[in-house]
Amino acid sequence: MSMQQALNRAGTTPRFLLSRSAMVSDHHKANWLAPLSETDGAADGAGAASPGEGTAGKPDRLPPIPRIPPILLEGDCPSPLSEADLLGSLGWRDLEWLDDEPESALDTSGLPNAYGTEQISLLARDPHWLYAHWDFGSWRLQTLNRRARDGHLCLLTYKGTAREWVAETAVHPESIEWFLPVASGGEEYLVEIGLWRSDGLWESVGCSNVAWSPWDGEAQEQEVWHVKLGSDQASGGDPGHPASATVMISPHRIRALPCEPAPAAAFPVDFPLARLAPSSYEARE
Amino acid sequence: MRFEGHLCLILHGHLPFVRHPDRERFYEESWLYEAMIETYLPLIRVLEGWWRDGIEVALTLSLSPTLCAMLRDSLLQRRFDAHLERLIRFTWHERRRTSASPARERIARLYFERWKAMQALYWDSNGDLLRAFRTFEERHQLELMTSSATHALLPLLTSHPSSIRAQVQIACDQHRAYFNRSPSGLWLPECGYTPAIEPYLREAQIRWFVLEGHGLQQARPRPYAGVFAPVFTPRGLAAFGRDPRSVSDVWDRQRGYPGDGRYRDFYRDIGFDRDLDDVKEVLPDGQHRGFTGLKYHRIAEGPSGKALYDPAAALSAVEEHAADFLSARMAQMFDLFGRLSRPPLVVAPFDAELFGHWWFEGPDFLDAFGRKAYREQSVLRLTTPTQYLKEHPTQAVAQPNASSWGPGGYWKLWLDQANHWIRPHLDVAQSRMEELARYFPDDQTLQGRAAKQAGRELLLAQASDWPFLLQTGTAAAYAKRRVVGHMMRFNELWRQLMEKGQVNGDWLTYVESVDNLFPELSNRYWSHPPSS
Repeated sequence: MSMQQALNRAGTTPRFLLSRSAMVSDHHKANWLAPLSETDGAADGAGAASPGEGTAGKPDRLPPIPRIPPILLEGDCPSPLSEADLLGSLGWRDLEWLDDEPESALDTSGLPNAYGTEQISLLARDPHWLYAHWDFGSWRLQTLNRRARDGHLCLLTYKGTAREWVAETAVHPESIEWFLPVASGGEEYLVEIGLWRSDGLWESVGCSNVAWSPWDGEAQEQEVWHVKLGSDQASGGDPGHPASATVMISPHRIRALPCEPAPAAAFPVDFPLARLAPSSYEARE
Repeated sequence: MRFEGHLCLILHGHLPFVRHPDRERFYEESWLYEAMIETYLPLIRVLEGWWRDGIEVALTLSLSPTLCAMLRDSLLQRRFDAHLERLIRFTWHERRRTSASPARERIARLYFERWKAMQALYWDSNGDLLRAFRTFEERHQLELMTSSATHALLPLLTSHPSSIRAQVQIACDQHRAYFNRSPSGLWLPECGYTPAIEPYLREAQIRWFVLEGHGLQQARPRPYAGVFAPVFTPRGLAAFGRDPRSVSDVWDRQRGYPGDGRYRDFYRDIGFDRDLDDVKEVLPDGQHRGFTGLKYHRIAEGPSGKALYDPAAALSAVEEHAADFLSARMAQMFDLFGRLSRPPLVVAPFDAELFGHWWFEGPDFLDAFGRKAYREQSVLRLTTPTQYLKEHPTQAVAQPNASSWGPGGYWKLWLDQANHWIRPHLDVAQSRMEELARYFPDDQTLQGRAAKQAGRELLLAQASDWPFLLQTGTAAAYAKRRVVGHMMRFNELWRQLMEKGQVNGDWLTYVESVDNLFPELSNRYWSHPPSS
């Protein structure tokens, strides 16, 4: 039986694997957001209790979610499929139905839309684009969107070790990821996710890891240092750090070869490379 | 004349782990069989020939751990043997079928004889190609290097350093198991580099790696020799830069050698040309159209479409191109020596499968080039990165830039609108794997086995091949199925271990039998914070 057939038979949505994630969300509601559900004002009040609230420059992390003892979850949300169905559906033979699925059906292909870990992760895709992803369950996302003045979350982007604010990006209410343009490469970036409350204060929901974006272009500095590695290191043994007893350092200010030397035209006859005399090179060796 | 320069030819052999024991024949398993017939076995034949004839040149060969796992897998070995036998039987009939047309019969005979020779070579090596490559390394004809465990693009794992560590350490463990020695070099998948991966390379005692050219040219400070000498990174690793000019001579889509009209055409295959029933026997899965490897045409157009392949003309082109490549490299060496005042190094890495699979005559080109380079000049010498570092232990110190050889030079091919949906699942699974490794011992208890299998599923889902296939639209459905399937298995293993508290042993045994790579995998690499 294919997974799709099994799901049809069980009369449920293909999101059955989300059931455990839903439990995490329920638990999260009970332990983290429960006070918020009493009144709307209390919800805002709970947010205000967060130490980082209203201070966009000081991102806060959410408190860690305690692990749920498995026994507390038993029977909360029975799986619509028997275990045999579930495990059988994880063989290749039963994943063939995916061949016929349109690309847009990916989110219903057996993986949950979210796991509810509340983490936000950041990657630098190239010098000018970051990619952020946040893992909020749909219930949690809806709750946050409702609390936001404009009905959606925002991403604040910071750069450098001083965490200089560089951009604010409004994200789609249902989105769990975003590509973020940044102006300069060679920087550390960090993204904070949160919302602007109706009272105009910023409520931080989470902070990403730090991501370093590649440098954009060639270096200006041309001070070259030379290092000689010991024979054991050069022969593939334990690679030592250059700062070892075998190191020789010789600074030389010389001109570098141009970038992109691929075409022959990149090597003009009068290329102004300051030559190193062979003797000086050999001496350093 | 004394040697003026060094040339490192690096071949990167990699295929994703594709093994489907629950099917008698599986379409995507043919990727391995095609590469074995067209690339790996011919490469062994070239190296055997060099050894026999005293041609002392050295190549560098990267064999990814997933490729090694498949080459050692007894099921895939048996299936390959059967596949090759089917091809030989088919070409025998094909010779009779084409007997009325001498030109076609000559081509059919070429395939028949070539595949018979490959079969003899395969049987001579007892089906163990890794043992053959190890022998070449012992003879100093090859330097073998590894890659990340499942060819994960390491810069995309930087938010979970334990995943980088596991990819690197498991790869090195596998390399030691297959080749009985630690690798000095690690092929960074897709030449994907960022400084954050270096602590894990060092921890694994990796000595050197290869970067796309701009990764070195944009290093801080700017290396005065460009890509024509390695740099030592501040952490003590050697970074070699890819030379774009020598690579483009061979690989360039417009003017690369493989595009010469005399060479065999890759796309025109009887698997698509002939009646389905006629060729079913040699189709990848015996049912659907696909490449068989039996191709009668050359690239050049004739009066009525593609002309028939002429092996003699193709071999003549091989000789011309090998001579041209050699003279171009010699000219490059002279030019560079004048500028650098030191013996230049040209590093030319290629996908191994270019030679033979995509470019049918590629192994002949390598053979001809190696022989010419050894016999007809003394301007350059083929060497390996480790040998070069032994001879030239003094290099500039610089911090290379993050880079890859993908379009744009970074990772947009592996993280864009076609494949971004993978990242969130991987992110969570990577955190959960750290949790599993902390809670469950690295042993053979049911729970320990389940945690290890979760590690295998995560590694398989991290392969750079799936986002690549999704982005390029090639075998996208299969790639999607692989990612989803591995993540579902991972999630289920995590659920059984962390939520249910009970592992289903029968199902675990089944999954272990399907995704059976890295039998000695240790999950301890995910368990504690890596050194920095």
